[in-house]
Amino acid sequence: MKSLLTPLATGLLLLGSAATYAASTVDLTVKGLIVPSACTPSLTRGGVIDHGKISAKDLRPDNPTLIGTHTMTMAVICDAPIQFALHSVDNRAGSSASPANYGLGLINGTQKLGWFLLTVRNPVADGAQMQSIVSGDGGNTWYGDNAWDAGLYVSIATMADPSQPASVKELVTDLEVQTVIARTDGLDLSNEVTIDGSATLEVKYL
Amino acid sequence: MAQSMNTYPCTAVIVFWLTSAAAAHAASKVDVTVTGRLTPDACLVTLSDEGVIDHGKILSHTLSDDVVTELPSRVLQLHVQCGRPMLFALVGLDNRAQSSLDPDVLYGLGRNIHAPAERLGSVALSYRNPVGDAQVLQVLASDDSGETWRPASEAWPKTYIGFAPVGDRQPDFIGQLSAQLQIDTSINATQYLTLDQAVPLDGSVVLDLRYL
Repeated sequence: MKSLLTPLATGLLLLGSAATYAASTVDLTVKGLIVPSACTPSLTRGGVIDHGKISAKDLRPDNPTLIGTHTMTMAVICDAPIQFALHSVDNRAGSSASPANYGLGLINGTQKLGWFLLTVRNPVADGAQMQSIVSGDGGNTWYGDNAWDAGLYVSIATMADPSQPASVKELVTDLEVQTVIARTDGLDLSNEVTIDGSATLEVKYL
Repeated sequence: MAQSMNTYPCTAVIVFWLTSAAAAHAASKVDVTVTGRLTPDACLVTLSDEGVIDHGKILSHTLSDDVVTELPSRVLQLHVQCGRPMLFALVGLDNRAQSSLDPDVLYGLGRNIHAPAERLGSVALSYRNPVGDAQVLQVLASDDSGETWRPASEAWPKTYIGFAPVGDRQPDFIGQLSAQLQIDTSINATQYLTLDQAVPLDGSVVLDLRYL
């Protein structure tokens, strides 16, 4: 009889549970917010350098010609101090006449118009003078340098220790852009040619 | 109510039939016995912080691309207060079961509001350090609604969790229980998530007290 009564009792207790349902439960809520980005980079001038119109006859046929040096201010603002690097990607890869630098596009699909160079100058992080450091292996090892070749990671370190990136909340640095046109004796400049350099600087969290 | 009314007559018929078979040799009469208990007693379950765990802002770059990322464990204080010592179990019911990465053992964390096919992750619950009526207890779990019990601290969805004196294998009568409810939240590997916008976590579990 005992075992037979168990289902009956269960039936009645289900009724009882239903009647006291509100008092016999408690809610557990798990909240939070995944936010997509910690650091936001920005460039003055909208990141655009326009050389205007340059006459082909002002370019040297037998040597590269530096057509301009411009300085933009780059800021990287983070939600909290964090180790990060900036990875450059040459969007005109294969068009640079100087292999380590950034391309300016091709003339007639084959002739490399020139290149541009990026140089990091006067980095200041959270009010302190810093030095730029560079990594060619995706952020594993670092050395002090300010030449930002295409594809390298650039980060910021204290003046005392260039071997590792510092945790930074707000970085402000000058970014110097030098634009060079290749020697023109190998270029077809009989028609107007567009200077078409483009690079992407992407925040990488370390 | 309808469900209980349905259960009641079926069970009564079975009692009648078996009793009748046993008594048939002796006499031409039969007893029908209907028993059960209606209790005015009730237990009140509460959680500290009103049962809310808030992981705050989680930077997506801190999450793993190829494995789940476990967020720091959180603990809430659980209290059960009964009018008199009662036999009871706690059952976790997942309001987000469809989003769980493993519904048998983990609770869901909701879906990406911007990409509803994406499951955000999981919540694991476990009970720690139970004390009932000033006595240190152990946690028992039952996967068959209270028929059999095993020692366990993890509270899987739909599993009954009971509390017993150390060494016992059945839940005991408890008037006042306190325990820690540990909440372990993990985020799905981000290669399965689109995180170009802010995405809220949305775990929701009901702890239901069942009288045994």
